[in-house]
Amino acid sequence: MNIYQVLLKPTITEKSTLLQESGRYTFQVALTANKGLVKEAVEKNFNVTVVDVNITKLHGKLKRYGPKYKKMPDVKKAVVTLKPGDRINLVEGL
Amino acid sequence: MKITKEASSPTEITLSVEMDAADEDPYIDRSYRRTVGRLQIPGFRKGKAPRSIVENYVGRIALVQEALDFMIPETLNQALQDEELQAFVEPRVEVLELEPVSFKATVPLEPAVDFGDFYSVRLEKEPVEITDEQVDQVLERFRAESAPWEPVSRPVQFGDLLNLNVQGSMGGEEVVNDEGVDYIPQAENVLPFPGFAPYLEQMAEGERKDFTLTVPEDYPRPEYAGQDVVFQVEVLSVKAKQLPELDDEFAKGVGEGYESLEALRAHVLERITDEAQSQSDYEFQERSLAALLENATISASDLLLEREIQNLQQERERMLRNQRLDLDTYLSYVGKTEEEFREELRPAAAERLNRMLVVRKLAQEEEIAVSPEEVQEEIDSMLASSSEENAEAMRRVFSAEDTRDSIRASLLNRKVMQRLVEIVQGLEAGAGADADADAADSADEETEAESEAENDNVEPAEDAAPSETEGSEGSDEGAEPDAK
Repeated sequence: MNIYQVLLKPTITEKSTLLQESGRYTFQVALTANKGLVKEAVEKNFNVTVVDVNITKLHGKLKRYGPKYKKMPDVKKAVVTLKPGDRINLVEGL
Repeated sequence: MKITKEASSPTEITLSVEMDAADEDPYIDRSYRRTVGRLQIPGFRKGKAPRSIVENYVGRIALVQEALDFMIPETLNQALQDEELQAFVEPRVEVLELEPVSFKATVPLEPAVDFGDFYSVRLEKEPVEITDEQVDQVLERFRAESAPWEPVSRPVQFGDLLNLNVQGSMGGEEVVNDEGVDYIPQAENVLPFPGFAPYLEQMAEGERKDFTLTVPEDYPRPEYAGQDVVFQVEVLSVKAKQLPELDDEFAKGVGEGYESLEALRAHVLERITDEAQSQSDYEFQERSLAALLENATISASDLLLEREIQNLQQERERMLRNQRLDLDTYLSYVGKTEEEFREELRPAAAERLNRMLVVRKLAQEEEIAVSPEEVQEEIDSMLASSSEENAEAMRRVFSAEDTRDSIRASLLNRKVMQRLVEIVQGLEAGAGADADADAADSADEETEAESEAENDNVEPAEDAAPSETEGSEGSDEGAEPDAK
């Protein structure tokens, strides 16, 4: 898998901006990505050192359109902890 | 912050202020805090988005725009303090650039008022004289007012009360048709058409008359002007005023009743003397002020005049609103543009401004001031004259700071006017007190409007030579400088 296809977009929410203060940045990543790939991708893209990666998979909700149920897409989210002092300017990606 | 000072005229100074990012920051922070509560940014609850996010979301310029409202006045105040300038009224501000913020402020300074030879001017008060004829006239009016209408059997004369049936037609078309209307023929009565009344003269009760009346060419409604109107008139009744005898009996029936005709005469004389006295006091005061204006050389910033025009315009607008009109509608009625309207207000505004400035200067010169105790006294006397249930409401009104200010302003005005009148009579301060209190009152009404409209920015004027005309309205106080 291409390293540039791993990170999809940053997650910018109240919670994630709070986390940024302690050097943890949150991304939405490809479903097929794993911690190793995310680490590699963040280090390459932003030129920082990654200390830890936590990944969580959010299951898409079932939504009803009239009589039919549709499943919303699953999302994989990664919380990346950087070496203290490293920063990423996420807002530019908004 | 970089401030460039430039004296554009003796009464004005232009400040150019350039701010840098560090100066702007606290203001932008305030505008962020104002804005954030209104913004719904995805991923954040209302009011919870951090500044960096908001700045990106709405753009920095938008925040700066929002901040201008308070950034400029505050920076300007700071700049004025740094430069040790006193603005006479709110400066006019022009924003030049937003990134970084820079603006130009035209600061009007204290106008220079020179009284010239005024202190050597002497005016004479004209004595008030009331003749017996004037008293007689008033009594005659009382007589006419209280006279009852009595039926008379004689031909109609002017001033009688008639009851008529009237039919009038013009070219076969009916224009007037009234039965049993009351009508008082008088030479100057132009109803229903000019020239109608004389035809009725000498008619007797019960008489019918047909006549043709030609409406004058200058009649205001063109569809009638110059046309012939055929009238049929029937006089149903004729009444005339029975004037009561002018005696003690009559005096008892006037107003609350007087003992005798002599008492009534005395009362009437007293009343019209009072009126004439205060009228003449007022006129004398006006003459003094006019003399003061004539001798004074005033050099004031154009901005002051522009502000005054603005105030005047706002007052007019308020007056129009009381008649359920707005300015645009009014302007379209009279067929003027706003520019022309303002131009028309210019002389009146200049007049008012000059009066305000000389009165202000005179107050300084003569060291006239109003103490809080005097204001309280005035309020107490106003309260004393009001009824019980009003007193509570009045007290509430008077506790407000701006009401007190306006009372103070009007007291000051009154005092200055008194002093002014003393000066032109060559009297020492305090000698002619009280005589002019009544007249000064009428000049106070404008005070409130004055102070209200202080904060608006106005376009500059090319020409604003102070004019020195005589006017009938009183002068104003209350336009004290706002800047600290």
